[in-house]
Amino acid sequence: MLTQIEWWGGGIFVLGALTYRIVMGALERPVDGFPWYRLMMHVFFLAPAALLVGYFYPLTQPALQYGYLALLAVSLLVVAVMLMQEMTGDSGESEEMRRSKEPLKEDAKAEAEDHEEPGWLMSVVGAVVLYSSVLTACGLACTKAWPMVQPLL
Amino acid sequence: MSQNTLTLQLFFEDPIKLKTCQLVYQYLCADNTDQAQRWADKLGALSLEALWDGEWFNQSVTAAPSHLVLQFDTGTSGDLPLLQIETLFSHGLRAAVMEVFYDQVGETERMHFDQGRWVSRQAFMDANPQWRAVVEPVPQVGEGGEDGDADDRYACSKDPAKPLAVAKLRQQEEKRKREAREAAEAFVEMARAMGKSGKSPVQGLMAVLLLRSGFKGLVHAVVFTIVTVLLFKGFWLWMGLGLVLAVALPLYYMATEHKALRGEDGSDDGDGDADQPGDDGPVTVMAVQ
Repeated sequence: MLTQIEWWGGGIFVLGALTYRIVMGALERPVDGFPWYRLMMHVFFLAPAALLVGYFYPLTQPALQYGYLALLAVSLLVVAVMLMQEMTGDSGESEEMRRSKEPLKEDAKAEAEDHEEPGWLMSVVGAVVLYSSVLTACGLACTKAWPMVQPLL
Repeated sequence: MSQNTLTLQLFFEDPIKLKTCQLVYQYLCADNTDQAQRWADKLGALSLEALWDGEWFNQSVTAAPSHLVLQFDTGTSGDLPLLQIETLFSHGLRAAVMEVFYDQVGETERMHFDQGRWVSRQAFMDANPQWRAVVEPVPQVGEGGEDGDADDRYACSKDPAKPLAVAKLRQQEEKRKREAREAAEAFVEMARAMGKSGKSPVQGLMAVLLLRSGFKGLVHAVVFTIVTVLLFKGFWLWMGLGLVLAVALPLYYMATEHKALRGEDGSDDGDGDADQPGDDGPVTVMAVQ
């Protein structure tokens, strides 16, 4: 073993990598303009991955601790923004995923039209299941960061 | 016999280069290689082979004050004149437009070159707005042309994702042709071997594709096992999971590949089955009638 990451941490990594691959594969590159949404998605997955790695290592130096806290703040912000977008339904991802899946779904289009749009609660549940690895990583990072934050309060 | 018809519109840096090149091609069209070589030397080209291909036929050259138009036919498997364009770019050519009419399929393709690079149509027009009227003349009223038609007529441009040097494009084309030839030869060899053993080449090809999918699955499982064993604790967990994947992934990939291969036949089979009695009612009725 080259790292200190436990087996269950590896499980979270594998799940996260699978989700990352599926989600990024479904996102289309915008024809023009900077791909902000793709960049945000990269941050959404990669920042919690870095947090999870840090969880298994002792952060003795203050610089490392502050860096960890900053990364956690960025991760929580991006996760909150993503979940908000999922709830409100105006996420670029949803639009792009819908567009990318359109050619595949042409045959089943009529069938899909019969189904109603899922409610916001179901959207949130779906997003939580899909992004469970990211949310778990953020949760673990919060438990690790809490003792670091306490002296600052 | 099918052939490809090529039209090259060549724009030079100065009129002297244009005239010299015009003389080279006029002599080449008239099969006067001595004179063509003399003018090619003046142009600075090393050999006529870099300016002309012996397999071109029905050639003609016309000159306008601003450019040169070279037309010729090639066989359907003939190469694009990228070597010639590359040579001309190093001897005074500034921009070029190549139009290829593929007689076999009745399609036209246009490629734009500027400053030694293959560029998009838009980039060409942006860099050379003065030549737009030359390379994309608007048909006169009565020729059945309106603005929309004119745009459609020139919309067959093959554009690169980003500008690419002609030399690099030529190397890529050569590599692609070589690989295609090797693949065709390999397939012929395999078909021959299958024929000797009395098996269908199609079955053989399917077997090769399925084996390749299985191998891909095995490689994925091995990579997964190595990475997880090296990175995470729980050696036996990851080894066990890797073992399961080493069985499951090849089977999954092979099943997917088999489904895809069968799916292509399946649609035909579906049509064929539709004529069989016992299918949907209306079809059966039609078959009876």
